[in-house]
Amino acid sequence: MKTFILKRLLQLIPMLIGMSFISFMIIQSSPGDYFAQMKMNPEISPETIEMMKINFGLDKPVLVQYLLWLKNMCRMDFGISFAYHIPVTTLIKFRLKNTLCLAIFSLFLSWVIAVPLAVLAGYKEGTNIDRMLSIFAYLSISLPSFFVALLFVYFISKTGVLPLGGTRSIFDVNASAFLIFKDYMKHLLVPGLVLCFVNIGWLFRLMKNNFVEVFNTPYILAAWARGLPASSIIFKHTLRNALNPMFTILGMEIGSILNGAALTEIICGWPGMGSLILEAVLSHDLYLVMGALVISGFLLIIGNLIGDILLTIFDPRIRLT
Amino acid sequence: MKRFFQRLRNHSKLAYFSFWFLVFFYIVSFFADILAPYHFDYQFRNKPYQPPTKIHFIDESGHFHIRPFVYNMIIDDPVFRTYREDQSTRYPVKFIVNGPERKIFFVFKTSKYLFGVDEPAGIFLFGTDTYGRDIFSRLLYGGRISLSISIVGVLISFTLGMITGGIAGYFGGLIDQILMRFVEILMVFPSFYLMLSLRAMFPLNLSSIQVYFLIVLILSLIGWAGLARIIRGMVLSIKEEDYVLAAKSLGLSHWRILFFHIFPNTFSYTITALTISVPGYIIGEAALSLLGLGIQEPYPSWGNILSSTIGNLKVVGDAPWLLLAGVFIFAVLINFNLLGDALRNVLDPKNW
Amino acid sequence: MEEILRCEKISKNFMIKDPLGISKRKLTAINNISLSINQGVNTGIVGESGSGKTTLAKTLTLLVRPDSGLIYYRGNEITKLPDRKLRFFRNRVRIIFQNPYKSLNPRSTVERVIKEAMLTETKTSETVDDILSHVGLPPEYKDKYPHQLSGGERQRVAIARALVGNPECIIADEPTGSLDAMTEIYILTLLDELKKRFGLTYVFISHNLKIIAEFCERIMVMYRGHIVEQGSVEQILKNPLHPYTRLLWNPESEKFVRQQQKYNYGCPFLHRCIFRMEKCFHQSPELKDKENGHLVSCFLYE
Ligand SMILES: Nc1ncnc2c1ncn2[C@@H]1O[C@H](COP(=O)(O)OP(=O)(O)OP(=O)(O)O)[C@@H](O)[C@H]1O
Ligand SMILES: [Mg+2]
Repeated sequence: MKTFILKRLLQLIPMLIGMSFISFMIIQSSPGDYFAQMKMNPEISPETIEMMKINFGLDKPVLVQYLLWLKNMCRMDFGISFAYHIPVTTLIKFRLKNTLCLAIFSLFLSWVIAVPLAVLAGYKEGTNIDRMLSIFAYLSISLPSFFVALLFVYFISKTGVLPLGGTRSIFDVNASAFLIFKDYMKHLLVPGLVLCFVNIGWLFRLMKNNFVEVFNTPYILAAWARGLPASSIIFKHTLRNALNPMFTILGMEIGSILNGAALTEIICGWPGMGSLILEAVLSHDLYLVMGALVISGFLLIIGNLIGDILLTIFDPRIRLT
Repeated sequence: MKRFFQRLRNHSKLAYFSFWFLVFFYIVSFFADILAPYHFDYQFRNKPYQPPTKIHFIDESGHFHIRPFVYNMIIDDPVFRTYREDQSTRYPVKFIVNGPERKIFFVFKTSKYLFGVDEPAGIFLFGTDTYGRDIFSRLLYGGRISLSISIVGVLISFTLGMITGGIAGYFGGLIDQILMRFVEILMVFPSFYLMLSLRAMFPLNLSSIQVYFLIVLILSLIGWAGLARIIRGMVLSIKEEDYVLAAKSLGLSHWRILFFHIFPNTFSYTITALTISVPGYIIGEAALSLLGLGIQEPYPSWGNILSSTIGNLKVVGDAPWLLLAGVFIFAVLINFNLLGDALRNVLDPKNW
Repeated sequence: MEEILRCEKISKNFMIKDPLGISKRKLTAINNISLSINQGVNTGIVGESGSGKTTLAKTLTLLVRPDSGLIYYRGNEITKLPDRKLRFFRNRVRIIFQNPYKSLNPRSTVERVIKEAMLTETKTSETVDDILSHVGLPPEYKDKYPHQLSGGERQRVAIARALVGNPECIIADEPTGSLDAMTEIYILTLLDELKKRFGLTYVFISHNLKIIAEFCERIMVMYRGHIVEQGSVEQILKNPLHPYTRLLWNPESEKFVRQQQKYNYGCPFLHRCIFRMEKCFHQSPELKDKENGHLVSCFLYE
């Protein structure tokens, strides 16, 4: 187990280097000299420019620049945002927290809803319940996240049951931690529900397929023949086996959640990574774009790693020595 | 081919319907120049956010008319934009009408459209937007852009994926290693972030043609990697099949084996993979245009028709028909998903 | 006697991965095999399922490259030649696969299958119809797809394909393995006729001893990737030496329950051998000449 994780971690290194190199090249090949652009900007002090010039070797050849940038990246220094005049890292840190909260919240919610529904539909395969749930799943899969978000935002603004935009509406410094948390969660609810809605569909379908597949194996049929109680067959035997393949999904899901989250964030006004990179692109804030891109790729790598590790823990077919 | 349709219909009537629905949608949007009553940029300045025009058969005095007609809509209250019908004159709906010249596919000239009414009245099946432009026409024209991007993008990705995946899988070795590492690294990025970053490489203000091709380029660059990986996997397993070995044992060239024995046998999978991947391109285009990074006004696309509703909740309340762009996207996506699922079963050789 | 094909100490390993690619296991499909195939001497290869017969056939035709060892065609070493330089060899040594349901491209018509085989052969004046007639198929079959043919018909198409361009040696890998008994006789008669008509040399792989005895002059017995016994038909049929060969001759005498190989050392046949001795646990026997070209690898005869 340990060696496996270690091996996977070692495999990450070339991945990270390749990823950062591509990110760097994307930004490098964008038109216009951002160094010059920065100099023109009266709001950036000459000292800052001088510092970045040294830190990032902006007057050196591209490869040297990349290596310097890589070195800085390892120290979590992504340079300074042109638009906000603060370190990119600071900006990302704040936004990343929000995005992660949103992702984990909706991930949790969608699993909690999708898995029982899938078991229900799988158990009652072919009945009306199953059919209705499948139609719902199709809707959820085919509705683009931005459209759901638009409809949701419209609905919420009409009824006004939940706050929209931002992360808080209580700005009282003396407010108790619980109140602030409650306020945060309330704001989280709108994008969280949207994301959960678009995510449920395919989770449901995958889970149902797994469940049905396991449910029809001779091993489960034999369990029926032995006269085991239905609840034990469904939950103990089938569900456990059907859940195994889902762990790899969990890793992949990080990617789809990040994609869906980005648009949802932008439309619901949730200050996360998605809205950050959009702002960065709109204001041509290249270091910020690059930082956000690298971090998002990093999240995905971590997601896949977690998925693999969970799989090796839970899947009895995989024996690690 | 005939057998294929037969099988598709036997497998699922719904998917068969989806197929023809999509064909219909694509054809309609490609012929927007004939079918749309107005050019996408034609403005009725005095009719912003007009609700959909009612088509009448019976006039105010109770007479029935075989030819449907509309009334001119007059703005009642410019602040709240309430409209009323001016029932003094009837404007019959005309078919095959003449109008300003348009070019079909930028080539063939036409000055005849399918239907229209005389001005000052307008026929707005789905209402108008803030400039008084006909949403129905814009949706058709927008469909042409959104749907054609998806097709061109898919074809480019497909070609790229086929070539790289095929070479990597068939020849293996160092080429395989390099190509697949590259693909893996591309796939490490969440596509939305990669899409925006690639967009950031280019200036924001580009001409519409440039933006169009830029979007196609970005989307196929992103979509290509996944396809290449799928195809590589398939080639890897097919090249061990006896019939490929048999071809090899005849001394046939690699290219012949690749093109005549391996690729044709990946088709059933790749067609499915393609069908399933089209929605990604439609969403990608819509997302970019929605965020103002894609197709720019006055050109319509489903994404940018929808973009006028973002952050402008009052508009959604006043003119909910703007959301129809989203409905169109949804309709196309759900049909692609239905079709893709059916194809997966129909084309799977295991089910033959 | 001219030698067509010879291999020296060839081995082929497969890496078996688990679904995640985390752990790997090595499987030796053929192990240190040396043999030579002479013109006019039909060679039979027998062995139970999984003994590596197909792998050997594919390796001999260089469809699978050996991990070690050398292969010679008429005295020239060809083991590492790239595919494009192997044409002369491929036109002369052909292979018929075990399973006709897999060996024809599902998307090629019969005509295209044959035409394709004629591509690399410029000299022939034969038409597709001629070639189909050699295997007893009427010309109407040209436009059929494999899924429209029966197993026996498919195998005939596969044989026809192998015949294009006048090969000298055909490696037939259980050509009747997946066919019923009647069709089997058909195909075998056909192969026999073709042998006489075109002066072919066969390498005939089968686990059916009667067929082998009828078809071949020499027999090799394979077990788990090794050749354990080799000799002329009489020698092996009348006087089987290796315990495994005897077992093949009457399978009912099997004493041990078939099981996974327990030992990874010593004689490969160790775990099923009723004559095993102390020595067998420690050493692997070599293939040695017992008498007049009757080779066996067993310590019983040392
Ligand atoms: N491509 C491959 N990858 C992995 N293992 C393989 C491969 N080809 C063959 N093997 C393994 O090599 C061993 C020998 O296989 P082979 O097909 O040569 O046996 P065989 O003697 O032809 O058996 P049969 O009589 O059933 O055809 C088997 O254990 C098989 O699982
Ligand atoms: Mg075999």
